[in-house]
Amino acid sequence: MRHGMLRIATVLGLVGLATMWNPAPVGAADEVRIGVVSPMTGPTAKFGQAQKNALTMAADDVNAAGGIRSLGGAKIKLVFGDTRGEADTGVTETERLITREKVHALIGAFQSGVGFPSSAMAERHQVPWLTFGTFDKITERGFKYVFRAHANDTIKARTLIEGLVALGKRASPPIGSAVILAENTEWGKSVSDKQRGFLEKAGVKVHFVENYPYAAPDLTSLIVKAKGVKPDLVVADSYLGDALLITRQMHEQELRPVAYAAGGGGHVQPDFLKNMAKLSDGILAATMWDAAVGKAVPWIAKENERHVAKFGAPFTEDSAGYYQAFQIIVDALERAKTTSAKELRDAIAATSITDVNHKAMFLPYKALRFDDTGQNPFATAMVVQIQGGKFRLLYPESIAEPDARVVWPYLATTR
Amino acid sequence: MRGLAQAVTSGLLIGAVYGLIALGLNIVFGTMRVVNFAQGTLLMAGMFMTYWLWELGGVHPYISPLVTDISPLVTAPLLFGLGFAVQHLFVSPLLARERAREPMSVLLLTLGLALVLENVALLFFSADFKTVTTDVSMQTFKIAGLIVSVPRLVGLGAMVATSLVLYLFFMHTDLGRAVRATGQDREVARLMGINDFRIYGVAYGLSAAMMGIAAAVLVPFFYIHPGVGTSFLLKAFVIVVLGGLGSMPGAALGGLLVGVIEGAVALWVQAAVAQIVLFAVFVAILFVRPAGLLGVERR
Repeated sequence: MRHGMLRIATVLGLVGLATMWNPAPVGAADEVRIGVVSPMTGPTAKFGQAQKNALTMAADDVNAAGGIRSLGGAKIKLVFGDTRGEADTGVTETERLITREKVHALIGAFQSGVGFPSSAMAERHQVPWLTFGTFDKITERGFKYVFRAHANDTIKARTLIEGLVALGKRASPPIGSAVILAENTEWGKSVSDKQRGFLEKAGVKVHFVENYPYAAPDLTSLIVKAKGVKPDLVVADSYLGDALLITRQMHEQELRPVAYAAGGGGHVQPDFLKNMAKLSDGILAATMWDAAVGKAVPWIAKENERHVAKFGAPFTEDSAGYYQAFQIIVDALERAKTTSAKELRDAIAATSITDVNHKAMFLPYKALRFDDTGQNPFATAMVVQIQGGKFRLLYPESIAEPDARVVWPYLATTR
Repeated sequence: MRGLAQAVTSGLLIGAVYGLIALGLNIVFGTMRVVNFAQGTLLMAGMFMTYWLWELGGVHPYISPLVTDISPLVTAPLLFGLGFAVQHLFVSPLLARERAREPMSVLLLTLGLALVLENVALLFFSADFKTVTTDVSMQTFKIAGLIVSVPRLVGLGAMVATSLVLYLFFMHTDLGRAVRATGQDREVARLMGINDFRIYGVAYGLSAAMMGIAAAVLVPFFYIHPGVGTSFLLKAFVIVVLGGLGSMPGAALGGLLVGVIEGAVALWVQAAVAQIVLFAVFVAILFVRPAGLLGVERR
């Protein structure tokens, strides 16, 4: 008898489990589901959390204002997929969001290495994918459903070099020669290659580009070698640990170039500023978004203040990018008047925004459109400089902080 | 020429730190015949202990392995305890079941432990990078035009001193002799009345304690991160094979040699090529002289 009860209980339990397991997301007509592919756990979890914050704020705003008007006030629901920062997990999560959660559009995936294969999954299922990730090739595969509004590696490299040249023109001493120290994974290699090209085009002699091993315990020889050619400019493309090591060892080996620039990566992370204190003063770096842009574009400042009030921290480069992607989808939904994938895709492809006060211009450009590859050809990056432990936005002039002045040469205040 | 001299000097100095870590690896291998994959993780643990002692207690990294004003919190004994405990709780039970002389499952166990500890560190300390800036952190001085980094020179000093103390311990104390005896032949040592499992605990603890010293040396000039042990562990493997498995002087000398090769090749050619050369030497040594430069051929 007792066994019988147990058996019934087990069966009931299993049935219960099964129903819990399969929530069968019945597509409520008045709901638009946007999938977010991000690292919510693992070593890069804090980035994923920042992305989630930015999107939650944006979605709450849209819903509070009455949802998507052209869809009869449909509310937006964000569905998160956790990549753990791993490519294979990113791909399975993307597939889960598409096939089980039936999302209408996707945003992802922070790391280019994760976004590259995950966006291919979105393409296969023909669900629009808005990229955050700078790896050029993400939009160079002839895909129809993959878009990127912001700068890719080439644009970032170009902005950095053009900015350096423009800022250097008004300062002395000038930059005549350079070395590039880049880590030897995909990112460092491709970025340094492009930087070399843009430097040479600007008439700067590049002594050498060296791809050093990522996370090396010691880089003295590299610094000694650089010192031997007496470069005016040192460009570093490094992740955080290497950025810390290079900056310290440059100081130890008394390598003090006129300008010290970074392609992004570790040099623009808050941890770098926190750890490097004085040695960071005067480093120029490429980034895609900085809160200082609010000084030239007031609504961005207001949006950022609300974010600070809500979450205790400003937007980050990547969370700003996620926010922009979200606003592009909202804009396209209003025009498409449907959640059908094909029409939504066409609406995104037809995006054309030039108003700097449009919410999709959170990363401000001259225009926001997509070319045949899905890349926004008008996207630019920005050049910031670390001054007194803070970033100052210096370039391009259209969005530079009005009261910011370039510090030249590197470590000008402490040498 | 000055560039090369500078690269060799710097190579020698960082090589000393490699040597220190390789010594720790070699103590475990010399006694247990187990390559301890958790060595890098123990180094990471030591670095975090050193970091928190400095951050919260203001204890200078250089004294943290041996004395602090917060008396139970001294990294070397703490790490010895951790190593001893790991040995007793995880390694010994497995070792007791293994009949082979070079136990494969224990090797895998240490790898598993390394992964677990690293992920625990990620969970508790997050993936943030930390640095410690002490009075010596970026100090340098010049000898004949060569720039010598003070914290790295301290590393060389610590390696030499540690090697000396270890030598005295292994040669002139009963416990040291017992450790060597167990390493030479576990069964015979047991017949002589040596408690081999206790000796294993001592060896593992000792090698963990040495990571406390390596951590103290590294923290003022390097960064602290849950994954920090990996880059050093790989170097330590090469050094141990190069110098001779189980050979203490081999580990110390191998460390210096690897540092110099790395520095010189990185200057002449490229840092990435230095890694190729290093691992090519590693393979070549295994072919030509499997016992390593100073190792004794086993029959």
